[in-house]
Amino acid sequence: MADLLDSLMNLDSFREDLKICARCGFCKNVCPTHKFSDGFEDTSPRGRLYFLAEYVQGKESLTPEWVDRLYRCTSRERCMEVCQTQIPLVPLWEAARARTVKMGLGPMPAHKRLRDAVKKFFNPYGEPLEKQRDWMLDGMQEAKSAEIFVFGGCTASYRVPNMLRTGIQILQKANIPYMYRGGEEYCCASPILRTGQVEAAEALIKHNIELIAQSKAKYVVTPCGGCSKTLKHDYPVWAKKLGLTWNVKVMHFCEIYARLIEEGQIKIQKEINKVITYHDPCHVGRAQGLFEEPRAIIKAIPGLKLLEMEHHGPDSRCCGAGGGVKSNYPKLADQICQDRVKEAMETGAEMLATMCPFCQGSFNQAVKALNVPLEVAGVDALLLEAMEG
Amino acid sequence: MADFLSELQDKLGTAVTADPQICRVYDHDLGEMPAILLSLFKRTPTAVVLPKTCDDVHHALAIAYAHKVPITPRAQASSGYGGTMPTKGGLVVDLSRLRSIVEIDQEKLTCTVEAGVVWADLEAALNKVGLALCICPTSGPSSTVGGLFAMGGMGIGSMRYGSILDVVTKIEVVDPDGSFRQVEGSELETYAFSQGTLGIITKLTLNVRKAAQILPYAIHAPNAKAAELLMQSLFLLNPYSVSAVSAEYLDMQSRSAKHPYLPPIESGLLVLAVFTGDELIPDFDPWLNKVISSSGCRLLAPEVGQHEWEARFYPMRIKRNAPALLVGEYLVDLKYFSDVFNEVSAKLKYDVVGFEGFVNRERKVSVLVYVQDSAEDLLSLVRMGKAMVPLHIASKFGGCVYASGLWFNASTRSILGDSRTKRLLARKHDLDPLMLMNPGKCCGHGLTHLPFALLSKAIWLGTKLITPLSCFFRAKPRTLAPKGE
Ligand SMILES: Cc1cc2nc3c(=O)[nH]c(=O)nc-3n(C[C@H](O)[C@H](O)[C@H](O)COP(=O)(O)OP(=O)(O)OC[C@H]3O[C@@H](n4cnc5c(N)ncnc54)[C@H](O)[C@@H]3O)c2cc1C
Ligand code: SF4
Repeated sequence: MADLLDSLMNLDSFREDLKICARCGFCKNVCPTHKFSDGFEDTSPRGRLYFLAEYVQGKESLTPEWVDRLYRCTSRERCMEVCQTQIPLVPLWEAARARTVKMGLGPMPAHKRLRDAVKKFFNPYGEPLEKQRDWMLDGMQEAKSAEIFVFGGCTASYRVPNMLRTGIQILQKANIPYMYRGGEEYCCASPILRTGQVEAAEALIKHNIELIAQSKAKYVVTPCGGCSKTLKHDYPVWAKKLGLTWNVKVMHFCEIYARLIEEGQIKIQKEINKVITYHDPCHVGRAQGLFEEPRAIIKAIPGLKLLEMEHHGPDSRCCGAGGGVKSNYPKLADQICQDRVKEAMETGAEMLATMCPFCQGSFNQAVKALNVPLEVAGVDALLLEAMEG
Repeated sequence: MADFLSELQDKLGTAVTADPQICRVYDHDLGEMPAILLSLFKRTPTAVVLPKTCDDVHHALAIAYAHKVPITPRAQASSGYGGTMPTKGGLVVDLSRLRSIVEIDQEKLTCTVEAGVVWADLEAALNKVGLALCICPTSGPSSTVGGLFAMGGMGIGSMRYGSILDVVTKIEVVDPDGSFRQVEGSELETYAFSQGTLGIITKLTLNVRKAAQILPYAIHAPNAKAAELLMQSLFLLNPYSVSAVSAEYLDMQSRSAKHPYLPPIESGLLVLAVFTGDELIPDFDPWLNKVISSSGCRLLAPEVGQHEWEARFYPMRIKRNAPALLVGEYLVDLKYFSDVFNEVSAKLKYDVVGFEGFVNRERKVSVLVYVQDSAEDLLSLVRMGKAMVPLHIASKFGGCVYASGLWFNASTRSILGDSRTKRLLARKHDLDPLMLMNPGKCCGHGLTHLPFALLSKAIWLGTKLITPLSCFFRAKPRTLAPKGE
């Protein structure tokens, strides 16, 4: 398994994948960053793949321009979904990024700043750890021991706390005890891994694995798409590499809510008469296959009417923030996000609901920039409102 | 060249690039050819232009022609005959941003689109107003309307609606010198299949249909003869689309899937007959059963039909299990389908990993034959001759290559016939005396075209000679496990 990690982070282990590209171009037509690029082939996944195939054969070299192109990907994973030959494109870009870092050519300046912040403060926002619990409301009290361990995640803890707060409120209302280690939790390493800074990830992951292991929790629950994807998919591999045990089940909050609703542990008290549309966050939907759960929550709330966007479910578009794009290419991220908001507007919905604080934060900005009458909220906020009666 | 570039950049600004790193990405298409053949051409363009309007195309061509710069039109480069690969450097015109849907006429059941509109996007737009495409290639998620017309291709729906030439009613073209021209009626025939050698198509008007329920039926044919009989008889039932795949291909498909499954048949072929709810003949079910049983075939479970329909855009998925796949392609009368199938199967007994055929309303079937290879060693060049075996066999039965492009430019006459080829050549002569539009592809004249024509003939003859040797060498089959699962 340790080999698996090495191989996932090692571009050479993708040689065979690079060869089986059918050059069909299906990936090109769904790529959000290509759509908002200057449009030449080099900015498409197919173009990048062609370059990498030539590069591993020694026919091309990694120029600063190519390094830059390799970072213009939001890890949306739609390219992987449509790929004719199932090339693991996003892991491939990550391996390529790791190579650029190893060679001292990458990452991009903003990503370096993230790494520096994470090294010093253990979160990419450069906030002191003591502030990690600031989002908590009066009356919120974690248990000393419980089956559930809430992993706040940096964006929710330091910047967009709604979903984390709501999550705790819902758990408390459903009388479900939870553990929380605000002040001790490190960044899950998602932004570091996604930008190829593998070396810097190890200390963070090791710390978190040990923190969670000490708690003896059975479940780790998080409101963040990026954290849940990383904890679910990357941590088991890293744990093996580090010789640590990782036998917790990772869940995104939407999985917990859907389960509690199904088991009747959540009591809905009131109708919410709203027409909403739902954005599937890339890291919750495609990366974890969680398409049904958020819709089950929406369905359980009487009065809510869901109007799907043209691109939804596995075909959902991106909020533009992932893969380190928001930090280094904010304009590109904004364009992608505003495009999504326009798609949401086309449904005629009054609210755009989502299930990831990173997406929510981006949508808030896009709605403001476009000055459109669209409310942005978490599905969890609607659930909480319906529970409150 | 410097003058040309500065004039182009002055006119079209950032829509032009001469960055060698970007130009390099435009030096190939879908086809993977031996390095020795590729080395004969100046494949990397000097510049690429990305027109956003039809006027941009006009300016680009006018400037390039005035400077005598070779021009290669390129849409999504999803074709594999070398058509989008520059042969003499020059200017690549990347049409992928020419993608407005100009008009959808719900009454007349037509639509007008810019040439770079992707089939899947057009289908989505049509579906919104209760309409649907008449035909769509299985590369529909990426390929363009203009690209299919330039290739004279066919696709899903061609059983009922014919090829792209039968569906398109009017086109707008920018001539090599930059002037606009409208083409309709019988003249369209000259442009369909011209593969960018007569100018650049900027707009097309095409027929569409009312959207209707799709009814896919999977039918098991015990052998190629039974499949042929069945496909012939299915014409009675007015199907929308008819295709056939061999059991080996399905086996590969099932193993190459993200979640591998048991293939629906173990031997013979699976014929997929697709009907639409609005055009079912009276007493459809009994008739379908009669046609199936009289051909010695058997209807499979409805889920199989649905599954095959849903997998229609993924013919190359098998590449995951056969990384160095060689692909042979031919067009032959349906009545010879089984003859060619059986002979190819016998000749390439150890190498064929699957057949896939599509029937059109002219009772012709276009067949792809997938051949296993392991590309890297020295003998791979010899083994590549195997990809030509199906075509050589088909030609004995009056069959021909599906498209000509660069590699088969000398075969254009065998595909189009004498009179159409004559008209194409005459038009080429008139419009492009300097042979600047997509040189070396499909058609040409004079000394400039001669080396290309000779090369194409040499490929044909050379592979014919090398075939016995090719078949002697087998590739070691290799498979790739799905990654990151
Ligand atoms: C998975 C897969 C499935 C496929 N299925 C089919 C199928 O069902 N039927 C079929 O026929 N083919 C099929 N193909 C081959 C290919 O997709 C088609 O030939 C397609 O029509 C090419 O379209 P494109 O937009 O990619 O054109 P390109 O490949 O970019 O161009 C094709 C040729 O046309 C010229 N050209 C392109 N656009 C213009 C224009 N606007 N004006 C003038 N010249 C132009 C180019 O110079 C080139 O010579 C398939 C390919 C793949 C990878
Ligand atoms: S979709 Fe997959 S096979 Fe097709 S061009 Fe993109 S990477 Fe290659």
